[in-house]
Amino acid sequence: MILPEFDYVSFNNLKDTADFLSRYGDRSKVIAGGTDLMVKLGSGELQADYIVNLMDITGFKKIEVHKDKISIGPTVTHSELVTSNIINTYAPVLSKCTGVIGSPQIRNQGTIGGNIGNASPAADTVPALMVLNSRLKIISRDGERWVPVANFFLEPHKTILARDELIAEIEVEKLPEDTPFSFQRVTRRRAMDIAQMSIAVILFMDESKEHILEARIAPGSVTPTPVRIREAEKILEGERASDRIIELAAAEVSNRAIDETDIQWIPEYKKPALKGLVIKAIKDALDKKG
Amino acid sequence: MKKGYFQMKKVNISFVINGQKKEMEIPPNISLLELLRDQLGLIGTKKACEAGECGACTVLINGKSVNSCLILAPQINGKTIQTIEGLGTETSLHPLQKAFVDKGAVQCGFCTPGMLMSLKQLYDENPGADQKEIKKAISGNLCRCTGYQQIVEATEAAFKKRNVTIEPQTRLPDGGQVYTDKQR
Repeated sequence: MILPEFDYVSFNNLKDTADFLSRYGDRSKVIAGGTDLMVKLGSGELQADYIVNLMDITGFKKIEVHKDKISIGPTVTHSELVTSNIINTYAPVLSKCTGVIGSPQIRNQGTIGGNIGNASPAADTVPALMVLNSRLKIISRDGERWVPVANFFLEPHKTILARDELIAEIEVEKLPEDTPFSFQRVTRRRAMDIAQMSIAVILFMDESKEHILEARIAPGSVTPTPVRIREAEKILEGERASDRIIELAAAEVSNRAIDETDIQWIPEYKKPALKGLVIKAIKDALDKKG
Repeated sequence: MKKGYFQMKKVNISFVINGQKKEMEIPPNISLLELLRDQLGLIGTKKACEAGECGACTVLINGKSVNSCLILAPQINGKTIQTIEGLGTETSLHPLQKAFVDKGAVQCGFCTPGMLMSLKQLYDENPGADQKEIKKAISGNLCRCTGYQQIVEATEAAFKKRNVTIEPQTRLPDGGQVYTDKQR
């Protein structure tokens, strides 16, 4: 692999990194795990005068639990998320989504911040972040702003991040333990494949565990930018989970998600497959309600 | 883009490779795989797809398996690297290597270093791993000869052998006892 010419820049703190990006951001690309960036550099798809390393920044590797939120550092690797007790207890849907990314090697190297910043429509962490009402802390030399993950993506591989900005923190909702959830995906093979479609579901049940109080449904890989399917969520909310209601909601997800993708060519199989996947996900989540 | 006249600044890095501390001045735009093969002569780590698909270039960084083709070499500053050259020697094979030989898990051998490094992480972290976990551990490594069966069998054999010699107090509840094959 012949990489283009660039200089390598690495700081151990956020301030110096943000200062550098404020001066040279338009000529720089940041690198975290590098699992996507290296391929793009090697293919010539991407060039920059400076490659700025984020992996050594102090504080970027934390996973902290607060009263009703969890803060995740952007260079936390997928493997670190999958094995984190905090994530497995309070946001297990994120651990489930992350556990299917690439291969063990990719999970050991790739980071959550990179998965978000790369903005692939097939990014496996994103459906989980959508149902966890995540927010991103975006930092530049001039200050910080918080952006809901739903507003972060503009189009495939394009985000609102300016060239002098960084994702400095990912905040996800801390769920009550044992909140029913599911993550399902369709791939051609089990390992090392990119999702052709996926779905993340969280259900909040009433005390009797019979009625759905709140539903959150986010498909992955089917829409150009991530969405929650509010219309389908509403069908479930306040209802006892019957086969009929589940099927109605699933059909709604399938219709709405595919409407969103007007610019993309959609193979015939996707519509019934997505519906089937949603049914499977909701039933799987209900099985976990205990 | 600066081209032609652009003189890239070399990067000073220090790291531990197969137990030895090393300081080097390297070009910024090479992968860890190229550093290992072209600059350090450690050609046991194989170069194949260079896209993170095949796992032939797998090495351990701080004990975790990674695709060395996808790592920008300067990023290993301060890290500990282990390659197949650091796993065992010809006279003293690592138990995984020994099992690979015994069970015929090597045919053309090209995937073998990567396979072994992926399995090394499992061997160190989860010696009680079952067949499913073994298969998962090598899910990022392609082999076009063996059909994987012998590789999985060899790994199971190596794990089994290791588990009989594990200290009883760390593995068994009160009153438990370890029986070796002979005793049984």
